[in-house]
Amino acid sequence: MLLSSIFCLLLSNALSFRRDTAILYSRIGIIVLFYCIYLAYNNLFLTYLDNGIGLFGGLFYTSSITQIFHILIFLVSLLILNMTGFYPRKLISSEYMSLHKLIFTKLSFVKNLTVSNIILKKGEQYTIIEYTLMLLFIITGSVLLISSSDLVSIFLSIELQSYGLYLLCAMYRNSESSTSASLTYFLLGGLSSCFILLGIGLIYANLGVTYLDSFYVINNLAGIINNQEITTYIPYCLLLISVGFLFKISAAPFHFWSPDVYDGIPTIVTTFVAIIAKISILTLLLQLVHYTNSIYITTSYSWTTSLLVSSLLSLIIGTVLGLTQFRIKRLFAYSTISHLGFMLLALTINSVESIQSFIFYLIQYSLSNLNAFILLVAIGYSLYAYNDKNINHNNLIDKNNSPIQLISQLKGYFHINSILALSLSITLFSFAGIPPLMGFFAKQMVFSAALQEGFIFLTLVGVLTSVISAVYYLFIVKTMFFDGHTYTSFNKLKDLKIPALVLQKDKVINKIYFDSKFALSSSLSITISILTLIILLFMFMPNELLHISNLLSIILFIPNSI
Amino acid sequence: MNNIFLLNDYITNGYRLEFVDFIYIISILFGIFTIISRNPIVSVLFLIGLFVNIAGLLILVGYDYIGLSYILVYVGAVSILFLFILMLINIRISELVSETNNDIPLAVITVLLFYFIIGQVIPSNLTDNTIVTSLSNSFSEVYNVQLDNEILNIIDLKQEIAYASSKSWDNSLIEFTHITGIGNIMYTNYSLWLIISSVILLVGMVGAIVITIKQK
Repeated sequence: MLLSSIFCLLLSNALSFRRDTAILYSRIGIIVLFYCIYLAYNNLFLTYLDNGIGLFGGLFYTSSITQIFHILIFLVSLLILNMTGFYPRKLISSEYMSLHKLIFTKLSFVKNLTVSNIILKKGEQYTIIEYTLMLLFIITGSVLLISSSDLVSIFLSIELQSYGLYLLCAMYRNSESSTSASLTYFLLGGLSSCFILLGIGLIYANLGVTYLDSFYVINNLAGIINNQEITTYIPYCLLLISVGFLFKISAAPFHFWSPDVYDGIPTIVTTFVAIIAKISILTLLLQLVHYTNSIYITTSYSWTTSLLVSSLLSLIIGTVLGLTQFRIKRLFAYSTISHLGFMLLALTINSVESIQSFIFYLIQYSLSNLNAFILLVAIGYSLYAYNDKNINHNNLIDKNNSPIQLISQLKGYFHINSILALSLSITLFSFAGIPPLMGFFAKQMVFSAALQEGFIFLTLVGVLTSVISAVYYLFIVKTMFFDGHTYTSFNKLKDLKIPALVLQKDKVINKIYFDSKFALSSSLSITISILTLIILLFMFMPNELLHISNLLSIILFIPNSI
Repeated sequence: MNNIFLLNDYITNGYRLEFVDFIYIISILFGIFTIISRNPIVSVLFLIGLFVNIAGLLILVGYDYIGLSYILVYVGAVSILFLFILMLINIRISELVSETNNDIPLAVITVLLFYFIIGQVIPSNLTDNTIVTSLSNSFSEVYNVQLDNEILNIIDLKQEIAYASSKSWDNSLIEFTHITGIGNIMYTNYSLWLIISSVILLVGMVGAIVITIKQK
């Protein structure tokens, strides 16, 4: 389904001459993703898929975990497409609100240019018609990556995903920073692909299999026969592969590209790049870690301990380096790194409880990260009517694509749009793990799982770093609420009257004026409010998410229990 | 009469060893010429010759597919790309004159080190066939050296050679060339990989167009 709609989109993209129809393509993409969610949900049979079913001769497989994460990926990218599928601002007039008028009459603006400026019709994200196409390619890659059960298909799908990501970063061609960020991303991503390929090649050279199933069987049976040396190299090969993966998800020793890349590319693209790749690769790592965790019986070296090292470094680097950042997207990149530390910790412990906490953490983190980035975009849109007196803020590079770049730009934002400021602070509190929010429960589950398995040192480090990281989250909240802002609203926009004609069957029946009360469009505000409410009110109905993660981890460990 | 000497196949594989030595020498010469020649275009032409040579060698040894893909990829794509770029950037030959004689000892040491390390790592049956040993073998009596290991007389072989590969029909089921073998697997069991890699190529194409297309 996804592939066929990609080809339809490709055809229509190639044939379309107008650049301004991109918004319609985004809406088509949203419809496609709805359909994909339906299909994935329809195939989710928890009882029948308990062991997982191999597809296409074992090259791919499907199980409940892959289906759930397919749905998560579709959902997240649907919400991201929502940002480009609709114009970001809307005009409000109380005279033109009744349902009868909305359905039976038609509005026609007299001054089209002003209106299109106000609703940002000419924004660059609405002129790239290939955006949706590339997004769908990436989603195909990550969906295939989640459900691949063969080393070669892992490599192919990770390449599909990452080529799409490099191209997506380079797509805003007019901005220099996004092109250079894309080049950085491309070079380092190519390097990490080399690592993955080297590991795969070594595994094939040593064992002669590429099927992950037979690979797991060999690994786990080799321990039974004494004096078998065949698995000596395997942990190191797996280590190489996981180095490649950690590169791609920017976990700690290999993190240095991510702040630069995230900062360089437009915020809308950052949202996608930061979330989708992590979901797919972490889900794949979950499978890999779970089934190869017991090799160390024969080799006295467990490759997962190196994942623990990576987790420790991620925790420390993500928090400590985040303290010095003054650009907000770099700060988000470092906070992502520190959250990756938690996820890797939960992944490596590999008990039922920790896998449950890992799945829950991944889901909640993707949602709240998504919310944070959408909020950044929305704040950027909402500042249209205001003039910034601070000259430093007006000379930022690439201001059109990512309006909010510095933390100081958020100064006193509470006095401009208090609801958005509140939502952002709720999301940041959830990142920091303040109790009644969703992030707290995730962290608490990780810590309790770690303590149960005796990882006391890492738990201590986790607690300490999450306290330290609260400093920079709280700093943003402080700047938003307690500092005076430097914004003044444009006089020109303040007493603006936009004449508009109400048409009914091509006859002018009324003439109304829109004043300067334009607001954030409902697509953005609805998305933000839903996500923020999920984060805020999670404690009142935690059962759904917790049960999902619990079921999935139990299925992973005891396949026939349901 | 029922003896089938697969051994014969192992030694010569249908060709005469002298040809292989010939190819070895030509490819070494080409390699040296590639480095030596001052004109980059001539150098790339020698490189192409080297690739064709090695492709011929691979086909002769029995690696049909790899040989053909050598021609296809290296000669057809990479070297032509080199040529294009060289012709586009228009380097004058006089600028390229530089003294490289000092580097010769370094090159020799590098080659020896590489051979030493690689010879230890890769399995011994591969080192027997490396260029140096084959060259040294080619100067001595190849046939005797090979056959002494196998305790067989060359006269026996010559008598039995006609029966070494039979012409019965069931051979045509087994005797795949590499290309048919790979094709049979790729288009049946692993056809999905083919589809995914074609999608990757599609992404690359679309991306190249998207990045470079002239926007209105």
